[in-house]
Amino acid sequence: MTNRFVWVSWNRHKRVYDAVLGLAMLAFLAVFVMGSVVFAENGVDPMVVLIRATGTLGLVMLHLILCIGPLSRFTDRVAPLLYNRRHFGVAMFCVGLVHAGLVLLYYGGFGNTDPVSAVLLSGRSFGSLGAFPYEMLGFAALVILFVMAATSHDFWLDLLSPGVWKWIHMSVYAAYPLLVGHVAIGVLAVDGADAFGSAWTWVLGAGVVCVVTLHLVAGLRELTRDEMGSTVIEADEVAPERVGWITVGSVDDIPEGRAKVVCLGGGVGGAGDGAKRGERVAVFRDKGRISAVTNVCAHQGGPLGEGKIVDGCVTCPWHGYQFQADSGLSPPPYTDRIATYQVRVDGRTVYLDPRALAPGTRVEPAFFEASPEDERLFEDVEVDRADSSIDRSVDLPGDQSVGTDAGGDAEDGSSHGPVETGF
Amino acid sequence: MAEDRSDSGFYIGYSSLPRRHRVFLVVAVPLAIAGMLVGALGLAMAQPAWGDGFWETGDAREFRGTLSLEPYPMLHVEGAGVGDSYLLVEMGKFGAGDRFADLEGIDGATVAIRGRELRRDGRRMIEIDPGSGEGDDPVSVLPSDKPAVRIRSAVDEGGDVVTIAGEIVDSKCYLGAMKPGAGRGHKACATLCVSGGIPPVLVVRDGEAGEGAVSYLLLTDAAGRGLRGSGLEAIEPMIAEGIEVRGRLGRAGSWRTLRLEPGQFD
Repeated sequence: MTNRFVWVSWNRHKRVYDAVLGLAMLAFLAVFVMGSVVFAENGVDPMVVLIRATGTLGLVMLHLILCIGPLSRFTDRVAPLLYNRRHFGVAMFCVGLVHAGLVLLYYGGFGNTDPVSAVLLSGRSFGSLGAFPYEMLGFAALVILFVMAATSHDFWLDLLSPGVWKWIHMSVYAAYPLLVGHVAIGVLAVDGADAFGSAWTWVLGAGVVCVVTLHLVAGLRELTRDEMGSTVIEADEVAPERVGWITVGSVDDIPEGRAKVVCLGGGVGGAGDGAKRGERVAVFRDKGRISAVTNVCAHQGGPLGEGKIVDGCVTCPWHGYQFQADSGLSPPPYTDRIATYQVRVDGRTVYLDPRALAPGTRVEPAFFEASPEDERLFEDVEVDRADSSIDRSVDLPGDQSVGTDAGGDAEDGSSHGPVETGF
Repeated sequence: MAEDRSDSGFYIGYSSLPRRHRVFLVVAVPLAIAGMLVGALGLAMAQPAWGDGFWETGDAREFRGTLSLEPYPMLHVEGAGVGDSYLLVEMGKFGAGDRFADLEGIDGATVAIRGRELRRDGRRMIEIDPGSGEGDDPVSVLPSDKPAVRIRSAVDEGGDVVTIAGEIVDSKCYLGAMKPGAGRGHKACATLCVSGGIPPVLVVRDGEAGEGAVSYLLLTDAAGRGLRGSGLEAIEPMIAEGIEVRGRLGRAGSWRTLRLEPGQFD
């Protein structure tokens, strides 16, 4: 999170991430090129080797990028890979751009017409596999990836709003089938009968199966969770003001310092009056207090309910954006805010008013009487917080570590939180 | 029982890395990278053969022989065996026709040409050196006591019309300028080359044309002249695709030719 603009708000993790990514990319290219040269009988065409190497690397990177998201639904151990995924994506676009540039230069250059039309219009029929202009598929995907890379900086996130930004960046799911088609037709239809085509068939097939399966399973898991939902109170003689509220469950269902995510309308009786059906609410438990905020982070829409209370703030698992649980406000000097919800606890049962309050609306937390077991959990979490809270020794950008406990990874140029915005 | 601290760490990018994440990363990332590298090596090794085309590198050298302009510019060099007729092309994706078009008396003359050789399966080509500037002409007419012998067109062998399956390629890339110089992936380049005047060749890989495993047939119009204008445009969509063509076999220097039957691509 930041309050002044920087191009890239570097920290140690990002440096390590980018260094490992860069070295792995170089190693991949080196192995592909060396493998091509060493095992060729009559010498290779260096440009064609580079075209193939960059195309292969770009596609592998795209598969890895697409797998990180659903994998993070199964284990938070991949969170460090998710954290800097934008740099991964931009690097992948750059590799694709080099691939396209080499193709235009080598196959479309040195002739009597412009390289772009020479390459894009070389296929003559959409109805024939052998003559299909598969180059167009790759070009269309590259355009999408360009828009994504160009708008990946948090400057655009602020300018466009998180919703629009997210929508733009979901277009990777349009680019993916285009690229799969580009490779499937471009490589398999042409060279499908030989070893190269056969090897590519396996690699591409495995990649597609992996991406699709991970997304389907993660999606089904999410749906299953949502369907468990909660029950809308249709009549309550003791507390009639709670009619229309929903039952979240017991405080014991919520791990200390963590949240239970409730999907409005996922259970019995619909979403409740005035609630938005399908919206997810994160109900947090923190040292005897229960608070509820939207599950959607104001930064990139990260799942706050999979986050944790750190230094008294709901902390997003994606980029560490923080919000005070009772107000939905980022700690000063940050200005981000998220919607809050009213909650009540009766005994150990948690109730939620499904009507979202305006972002940043302060709500008095609901308290529950802590049992000895709860007290022990508080202590454990305190220890854990000491272990995982912000390390002031790490290379935080600018004055992020001054005067606030809230960190954040903002890479925008303006509003977010304590420090700077960047990429 | 107290929760294991090492198993409860919550990752925040700007904070220190919890131990459980570090352990996972130390194992998973190297494994993933190793897997990627093995895959890269496998795909690199599985690439199809690059072909045995050859493109001379280094300084240009001089070739001497008789120049003919039809069906395509060639230099006929005595005593060079099967490949004694060199197709002539320019640097880049251009044929050499324009260079000689306005030169009176060049057709059939004895010339010296500075360039670099491309060859494959005994078929040869010279990429004419572009020269270093004004006054540096890579082509010079040599004095000769022999009368100029002008080859106007491909010589008809007098046979019937035959139908031959093959792939139209641009001769420059296929002979060695690019590897692979054929196939759908090379279509854009081949089309550019042919439209720029590089002689189109039908490559017949099953020996149908009676020259062993791979035959090379220079494509000409029905009169045995080089394809130009509408004749060239007619074959361009077919380049780099498996097709069947009809024509009459012929010869131009040491190159075999196929005089295309008119109207077959309409």
